[in-house]
Amino acid sequence: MTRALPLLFTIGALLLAPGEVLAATAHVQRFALLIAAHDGGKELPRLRYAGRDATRLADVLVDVGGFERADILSVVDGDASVVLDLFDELEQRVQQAKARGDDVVVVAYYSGHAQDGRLRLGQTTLEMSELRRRLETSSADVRLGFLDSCGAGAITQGKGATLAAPFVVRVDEDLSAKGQVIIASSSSDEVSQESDDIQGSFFTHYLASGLRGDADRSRDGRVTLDEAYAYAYGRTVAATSATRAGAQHPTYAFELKGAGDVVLTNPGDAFVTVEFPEVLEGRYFVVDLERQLFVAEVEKQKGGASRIALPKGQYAVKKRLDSHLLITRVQGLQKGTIVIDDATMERVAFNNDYAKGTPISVSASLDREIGFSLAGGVGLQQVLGPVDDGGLFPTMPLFVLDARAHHLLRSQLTLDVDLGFGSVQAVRTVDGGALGSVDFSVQASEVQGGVAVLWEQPLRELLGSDVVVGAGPRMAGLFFVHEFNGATRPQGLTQQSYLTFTPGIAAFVAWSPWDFAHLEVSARAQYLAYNVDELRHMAVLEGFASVWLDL
Amino acid sequence: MLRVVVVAALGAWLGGLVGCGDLSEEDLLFRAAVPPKEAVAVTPPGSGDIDEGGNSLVQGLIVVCAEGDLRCEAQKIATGFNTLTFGLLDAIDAVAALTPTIRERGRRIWGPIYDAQKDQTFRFEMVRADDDVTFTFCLFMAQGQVELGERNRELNCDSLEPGFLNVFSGSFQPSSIEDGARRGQGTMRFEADRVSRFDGSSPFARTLDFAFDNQQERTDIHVDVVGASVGDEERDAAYDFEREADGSGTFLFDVFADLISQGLLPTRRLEHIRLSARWNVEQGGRALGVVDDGDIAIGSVLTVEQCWAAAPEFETSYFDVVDDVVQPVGDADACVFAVADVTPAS
Repeated sequence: MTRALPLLFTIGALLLAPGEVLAATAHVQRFALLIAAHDGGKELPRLRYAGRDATRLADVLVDVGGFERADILSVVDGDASVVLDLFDELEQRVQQAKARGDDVVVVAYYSGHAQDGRLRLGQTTLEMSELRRRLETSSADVRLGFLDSCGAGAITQGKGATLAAPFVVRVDEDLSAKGQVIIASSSSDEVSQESDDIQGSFFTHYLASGLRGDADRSRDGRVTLDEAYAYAYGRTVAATSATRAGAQHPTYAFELKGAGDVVLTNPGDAFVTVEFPEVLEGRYFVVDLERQLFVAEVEKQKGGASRIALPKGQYAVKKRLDSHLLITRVQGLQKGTIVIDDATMERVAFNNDYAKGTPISVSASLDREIGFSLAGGVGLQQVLGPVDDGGLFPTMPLFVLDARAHHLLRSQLTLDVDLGFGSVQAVRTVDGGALGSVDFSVQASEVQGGVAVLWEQPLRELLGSDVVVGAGPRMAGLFFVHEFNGATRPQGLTQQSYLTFTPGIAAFVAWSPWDFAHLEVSARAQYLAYNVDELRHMAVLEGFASVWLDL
Repeated sequence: MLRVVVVAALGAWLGGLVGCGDLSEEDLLFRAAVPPKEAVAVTPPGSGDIDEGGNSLVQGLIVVCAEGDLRCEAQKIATGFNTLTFGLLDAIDAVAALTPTIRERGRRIWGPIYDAQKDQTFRFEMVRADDDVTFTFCLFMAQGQVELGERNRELNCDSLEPGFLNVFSGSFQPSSIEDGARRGQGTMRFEADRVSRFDGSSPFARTLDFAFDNQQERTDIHVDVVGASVGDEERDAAYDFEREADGSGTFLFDVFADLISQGLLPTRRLEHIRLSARWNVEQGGRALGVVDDGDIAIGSVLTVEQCWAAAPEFETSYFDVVDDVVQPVGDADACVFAVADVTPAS
């Protein structure tokens, strides 16, 4: 039972439990087991965000799900035996709670590789059927399983390329008497993908965002399993449709008996509630400023208010427009509701975004990739060699024209193309050994061009603006021309020249005081093989100051 | 795509370890070591100027001399020499202006360069000796188009590679290059008879050996011609030329020529001619021509004296054929030098 429409498994299907899990008269005890595995074995790429996904879900469960931190068991990069031991411990706790007469809800979450029906836990594996059996045999009243995994070999940070069995466990045929729901991050023939932008998997990211309140379609301050799934499904499909791995469709399997819906979180009871009023429209991102981590994403449509729940802390809420960001700080230090208003948000350039780590969404990220900058600058070139070259390569002032395509190859990678000109009147001193030396007056000129691939990294705020550093390899062509002039012009010779292609490195520090432009100080070092009279290994050092126009 | 771009960039990045061009310091030294024309230019009074910066000679090749004008005759002889040596040095300058085919430490090789029009191949080499101050050079010629390949490196000025002949060679020791270089001393040998093998002409001499020294603003040139063809005979000849920094100087031409081809009993025998001269700063001077042998009676000599005034007119102020028949013209006391000053040592 996969790929069914998300709404189908809710109303009417949930007959037994705890719709009123939170509202029932009996005390509801909640336990969770969160499993994260970055390593899926030698043949699979190491995942980058499995642990962060588990942490994000744990935060949501604690912040708005009514879970106690102590009731959440977790393991990161543990092998199969450790996971099974934790299942044993989880069951013990469930049985103790049941003995006290509590209703019990259990959440099991896995983020990691899966292949051929097995969870890949480092060098060990765990059959999905065993996971299913553990849930089925649990004494808990409601058992929720979230499996964010797939096969191996994803193209773009996907969690595998080899398709595993459908999202998860087949529970339909032999459902236990108590309620059980398992939600998978993708269907059987799809990969589950991670994203560097959101620093996590798409599915867990949207699941967490929905649980914080954005999935609350009914505006009743509660996020039900139905709402959470519908939200995670829609957002995951939309976000992954533009990736190279293709759209990812979450699936589910359930068997619940009872009336009502399963309420997963109560954002309305949160310490801090951020409200997006009816009039607002657009996509908002919430960033935990203390941890510089993305917390939630809200896709707001006119006509109804949205709320998300946050724990105590300091946040930034920002909204991306075509040419800039709107951003505001949220001081969530006291319990209450904070209402977002576009009119009071600060207008800042993309480069001045002080709340990093926010997903801009895939489509927005693609928009960001189309970024170009043009620059003009001045600088100085110094060539160093093992011996005194007698002015063969004199210190040269350079004027440069530079163009960059940001995020062209991938996020934070910039392609830089530069052109430089320089000329200086200099004296070439040729050492004739026993004959003494002679000075030749030359007009030394240079034309150079280079291509660099630079990795850009925002560094810190300075004077209210971003400082960005970058560095990377550069390939350059240098053409030197010496035109002889003056009294000691060599007989029959008007000029000499030298052309070489040299590898090197480039680095810069940029400061953005304006939306449309930034200032930059850069340095370059190139290897120079001079091989006319003899082979000399030389270094070309250059420093520049430039003004950039950001298009 | 990203992988392809990265691999291509990395390959280009690591591959860019070479350069090309002629931005050479040592080329400038070699260029300074090419003997300049002024180093070997014979410039008796009235010869005009040698362009210090180039190889153009401001000197008339066609000079009509009045009968007995020794100064003018000397100028004509000098013009002949200069035409030859300047042509050789012009050729070397032209080759050395090209980018060397092989550039090694202390060694430059140009060519082989094929001249399709002449159907000849040239190869020029210069080597800086271990003493750092001596440069040797040689110009090879070969008939037709000759490829040397790897042997090109091994061929040196002492080699006689089949098909290649060393036609012009020499050495040069520049004075301190701090004063602008292209001054110094050196020797050159022109193998005239070898050249004639290529163009089919009759050699005007077997070899010409030049020794020159133009350090400290003065010029001292000595030329020995071996086997000069004069009529049907081969005779040796010698030329000495000295020019001081102030412009004064001397020359001595010791040659053979069929000077007397008219007269009562003219023969084709060659007369021995010694033409000597001295001039001062103003270029005024005195010349002495002594002719014997040939059609001159045995035991007799024909002596001609001439004095001329300072530049630019060079008017003959005194002329005398020393015999008892022709009366001297002019005043011998007006001569700036005495006879003894121009009489060569025997």
